Amino acid sequence: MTRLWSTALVTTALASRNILRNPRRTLLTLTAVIVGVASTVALAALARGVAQQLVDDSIYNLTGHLKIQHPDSARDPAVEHTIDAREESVEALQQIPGVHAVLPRIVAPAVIRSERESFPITLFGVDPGLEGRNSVAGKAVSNGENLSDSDDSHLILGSKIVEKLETRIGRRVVVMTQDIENEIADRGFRIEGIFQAEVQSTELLFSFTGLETLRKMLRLKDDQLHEISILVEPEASLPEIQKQVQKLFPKAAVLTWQELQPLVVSMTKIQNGFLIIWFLIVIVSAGFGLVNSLLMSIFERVREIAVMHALGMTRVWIVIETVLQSFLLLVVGGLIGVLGGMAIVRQFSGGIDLSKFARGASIAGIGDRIVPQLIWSDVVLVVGLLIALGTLGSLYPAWLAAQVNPARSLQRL
Amino acid sequence: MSRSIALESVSRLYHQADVLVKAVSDVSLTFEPGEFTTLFGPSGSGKTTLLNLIGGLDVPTSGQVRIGETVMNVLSPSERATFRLNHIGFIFQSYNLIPVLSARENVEFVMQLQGVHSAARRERAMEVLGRVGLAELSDRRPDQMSGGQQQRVAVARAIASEPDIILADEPTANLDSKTAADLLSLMQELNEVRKITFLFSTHDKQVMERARRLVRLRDGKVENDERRS
Ligand SMILES: Nc1ncnc2c1ncn2[C@@H]1O[C@H](COP(=O)(O)OP(=O)(O)OP(=O)(O)O)[C@@H](O)[C@H]1O
Ligand SMILES: [Mg+2]
Repeated sequence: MTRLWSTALVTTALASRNILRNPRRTLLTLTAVIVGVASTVALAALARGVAQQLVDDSIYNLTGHLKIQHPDSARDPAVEHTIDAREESVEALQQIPGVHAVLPRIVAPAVIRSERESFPITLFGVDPGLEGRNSVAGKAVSNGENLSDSDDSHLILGSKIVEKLETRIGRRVVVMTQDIENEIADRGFRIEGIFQAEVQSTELLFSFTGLETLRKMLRLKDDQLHEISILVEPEASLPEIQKQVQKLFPKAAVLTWQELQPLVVSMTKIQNGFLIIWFLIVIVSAGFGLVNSLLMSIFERVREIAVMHALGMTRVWIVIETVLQSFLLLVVGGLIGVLGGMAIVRQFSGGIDLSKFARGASIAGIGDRIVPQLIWSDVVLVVGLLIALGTLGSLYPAWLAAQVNPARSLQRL
Repeated sequence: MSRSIALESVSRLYHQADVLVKAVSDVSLTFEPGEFTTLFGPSGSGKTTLLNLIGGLDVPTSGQVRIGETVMNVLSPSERATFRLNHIGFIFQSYNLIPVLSARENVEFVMQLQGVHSAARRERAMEVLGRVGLAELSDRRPDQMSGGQQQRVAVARAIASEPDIILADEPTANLDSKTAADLLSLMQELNEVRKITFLFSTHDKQVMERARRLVRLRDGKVENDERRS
């Protein structure tokens, strides 16, 4: 057995026994670490859940993972900003590996008018069969009938706008917009169904009718579309598919949801910022507790440290012994904290219903139900950073321990 | 194996609230391997300081401390610690066992730092604990033992690794005379059989009687150096 190994063993034994020596103090420090880790893990899972919810919602709310549109339509969603979408190009899209759904749409900014009120809306011409479960446009209406096909000339409205228009299913409303020749185009629609959405603004703004109905109304040609929304399989590479789509539509803009929804991306970033601040608070408070309790224990053990040094333990090992104490505490606290965090996440695995206590959430674009998502790389990062920084912090008390002057400390008493 | 101790014009000065204290003042002494020496003198005469200088727990302000071929005061603190580990055993006035270790583990501690194999270590620890009459208490922690028992463990710890030199700072000061006598006999025997060099500081007449060399200190200086046969 080498000298190094057996010295390491006795040092570890000393460290672990010194931790247990003052159970109250150890328990206090341990509690700080556990609470800190558990809360950070749970909050990280919640943040991931919120972010996922935001992304899912915005993708579901007609953004899709990718969208093909006229390069200028992001700036100005005018009727004439169409894309050249011949049937073979649209079919070729479906052949790209990893593509889950291809959703062609015609979009018109419009005004809707009932006998009493009028409001600005965005009218989508959709193929209800394709939209299916892939977007809010294909969502089964909560009231009335869904669109039957692309030629369907009825109107589907959100429940909020129906309320505001003071109308109901079966009544007629007038939708007014501009056609491709810049002529006023208006048309009466019968309200066939009402949908509900996670976010109120969707219910206010989005209205749907059949793709071909809107095409006729706007006098668009057969191969003209305003956008094609693409959904991809979860494991597919978005940039890769984006490249292939761009090849099929060289003149159009092919944008990812991140580019289309910068707000969602920045909200996720802000949220991560808060999470980092919380984590820093945890590290600082748990770290201070740890360093403080180590300092106290070193002041109590000055004589003992002097004895170990007098007996031949070098300063390096005295430093190691001290650092090891905090390392062991952090590892144990970290593990229990992770288990605690997992338990909390599990408690809410059915989702947290925000609608009861957070009306504002839906306005901020967050859906009503948040399902926390525990991601292992987050957990490893949290615990790893805490252990690394805590251990680093304990170098200070350890250095103090190594400065104990044996001659002076053993002088009397 | 055995090493002589040589002090050459060793001084150790302390600044104590603006006053310069000459704890050890220009001391030159040589201790041959296997000597059994007692340092005595009034309180504050520099006994502890001298032992600390020899053990490398402290460094002289001037002069040189040599043990065998090694000049202690040029070594780094870690090198001195390693030198102590291999060559010097310490016994302190107030036991100074490591509280979180049992009697046996305290005795094993030095051997463990030396890398002695665990089975050999344990056997040796039990053997020396037997020698000081504490084999039965080997699993007790220091706070479960009397002062005398703790000091016997400290002696066992010092002798277990068979150092060349044992430095003992008033080892019997807190012991009753019977226990002190037993321990002294043990140390005398080790001195004679193993040729370990013993250097005591003491106020204890009993200790002085057994010593073959008596060095009297006063104000950090050697006042008298007497050998007996
Ligand atoms: N670390 C220190 N700082 C300042 N002065 C010190 C220090 N160590 C010792 N001294 C002084 O040096 C002198 C010698 O002290 P030392 O402890 O060596 O005496 P001693 O002979 O061991 O005394 P005692 O019999 O009381 O143990 C004393 O005056 C003491 O106050
Ligand atoms: Mg003294």
